Amino acid sequence: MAVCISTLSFILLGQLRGIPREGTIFPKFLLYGLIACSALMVIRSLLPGFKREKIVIFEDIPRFLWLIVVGIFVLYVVGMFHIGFFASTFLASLSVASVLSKARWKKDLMTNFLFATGTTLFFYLMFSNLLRVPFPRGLLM
Amino acid sequence: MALGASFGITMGAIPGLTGTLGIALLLPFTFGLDPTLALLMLGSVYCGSEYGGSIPAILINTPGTAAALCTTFDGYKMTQKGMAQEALNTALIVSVLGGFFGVFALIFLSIPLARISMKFGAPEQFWLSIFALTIIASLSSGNVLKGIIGGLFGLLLSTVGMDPVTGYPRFTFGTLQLLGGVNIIPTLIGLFAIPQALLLLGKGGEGKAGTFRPKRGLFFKTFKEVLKRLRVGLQSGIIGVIVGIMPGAGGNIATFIAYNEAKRFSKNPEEYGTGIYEGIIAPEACNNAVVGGAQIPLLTLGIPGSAPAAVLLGALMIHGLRPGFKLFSQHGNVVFTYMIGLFVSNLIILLLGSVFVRVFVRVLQVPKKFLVAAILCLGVVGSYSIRNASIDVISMTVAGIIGFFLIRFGFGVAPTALGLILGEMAEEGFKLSLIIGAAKGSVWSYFFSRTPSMILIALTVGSLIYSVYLETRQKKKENSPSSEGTQ
Repeated sequence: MAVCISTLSFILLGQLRGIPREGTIFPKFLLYGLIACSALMVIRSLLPGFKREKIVIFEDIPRFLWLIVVGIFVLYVVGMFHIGFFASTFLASLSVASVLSKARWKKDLMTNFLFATGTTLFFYLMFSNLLRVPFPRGLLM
Repeated sequence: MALGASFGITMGAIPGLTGTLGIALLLPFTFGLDPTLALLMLGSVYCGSEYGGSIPAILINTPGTAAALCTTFDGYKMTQKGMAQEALNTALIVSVLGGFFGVFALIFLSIPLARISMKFGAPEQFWLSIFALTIIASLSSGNVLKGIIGGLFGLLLSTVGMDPVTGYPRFTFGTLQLLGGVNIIPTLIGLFAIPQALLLLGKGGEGKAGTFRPKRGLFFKTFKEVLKRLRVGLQSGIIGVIVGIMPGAGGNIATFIAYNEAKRFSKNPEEYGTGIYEGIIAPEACNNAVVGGAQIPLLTLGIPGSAPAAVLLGALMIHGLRPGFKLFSQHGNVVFTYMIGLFVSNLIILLLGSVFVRVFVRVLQVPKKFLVAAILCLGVVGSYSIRNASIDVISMTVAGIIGFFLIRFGFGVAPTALGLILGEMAEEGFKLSLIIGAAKGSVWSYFFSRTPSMILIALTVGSLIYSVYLETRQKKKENSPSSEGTQ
């Protein structure tokens, strides 16, 4: 991890080339701070009595389910600018609710459909109608 | 006023919508109103939004406003313990008490406090943000080094975009959309809301979001609990007023300082972050006291202390009221009616809130699958509606995924969020001090020798030493044979 942080810091330091000193003093100070912290992390790990932290990323979360939900979320963000905000909101909320319904998805389809319709309608009334937020309109709506 | 307060609570409770936006949206509706009534309506929105931000912070670990970020630390933990109703009631009661305290300061201390605030310049702005950053030590849950890395990462995020001094782009990777920088609110939504939705996928995303046991007579019981901890509320209220007066600081910074100070003065600082009343009292009393504090320089000098106060300044101008000495001498009836009206507005919030709490708390009975979908959609809507910019939605998404891994790798999202919030103010203060100090002949003396700066430096050093002492004590406790035995 320390190597990753240091590498990233050096890459970002390279990005500051060509900028006058006034513009780089603060970010350079932060990047050197990050490099120093990662060096400290390495030193600490070499010290006797160092206890390695247990890092579990997907302990209780099914990895496949996580990937599907993140995938739907990314598609939703991309899709709202292509097929329109309301259509993508409806599809995203319906698909997330259905994916999390798992085996019962057919049984829960009606409830999920009502939920997706309600969510979309709420956003339409609250944000589009009342607050006049100009949501992206795409192929569908 | 009731309409303004309800609107404000709603604006605060929806992540992405802020009190500033609420005041701006209602401003056109006040054109035809009497100036006193118009100001009261807008002031009620401001008060309501500060309270509203705590609702999603407590229920779904997502701060409705940036100032409610600290409320997540203990508020959500209380929800996880099945004490959501107590947490919401605490937030409501202390918000109102904090609001009273701020208005009291506004009425009686306007002029002397405004004079003191004028002594704060660029170096103090820098030192104040550094002082607020010392809270990282207490947010790092045992690993200060990781907390510092998270904080530095957040500060670095705040430097993305065009440098205000040189005009050169920094860390934009050639992207035009990043020239304006990383917007704070969408990134905060990403850092807090999205990982929370993803963490709800635990155990396959089945079941309900949390436990909720409706209890009777809880409001008065909570009120008693708050009264027992009145010192924390009072201390946080004072911090809120003082920081609120400083232009550009606002509730975002004040709540961190208040939380840190409440923890430092506590006999059991290790209990903070585990779901205790004090952890909600400190930030909530503080951010509502900021409402009064931020209006002190606004009304006396025409300098807004926070973003919503800046919009209120516009409202004053539109209604033909010019802030300053003449405002008090020529339009005293309007100003003092407004100030007294803010008391009433806080009472209305208490009444509305006590009814709303029973409704809000039912969010926990919503099946996880619907809550996950709603959080994800709300994150997108909230981040898009701020500037109607696609880059905000993209930065929210990226911040969300990064936030999930930050949590899982033990960095936590709070230090990064804190760095992002304080970054702009720290850099601005730092650069201005360098420029002014160089012009005056000595940068060092300009940075270190001014009395307010020296006070802030002493507080920062004291805070750091105390944090190190606390961490050492905590580690000793953990390593002691008795604790090993219990483990």
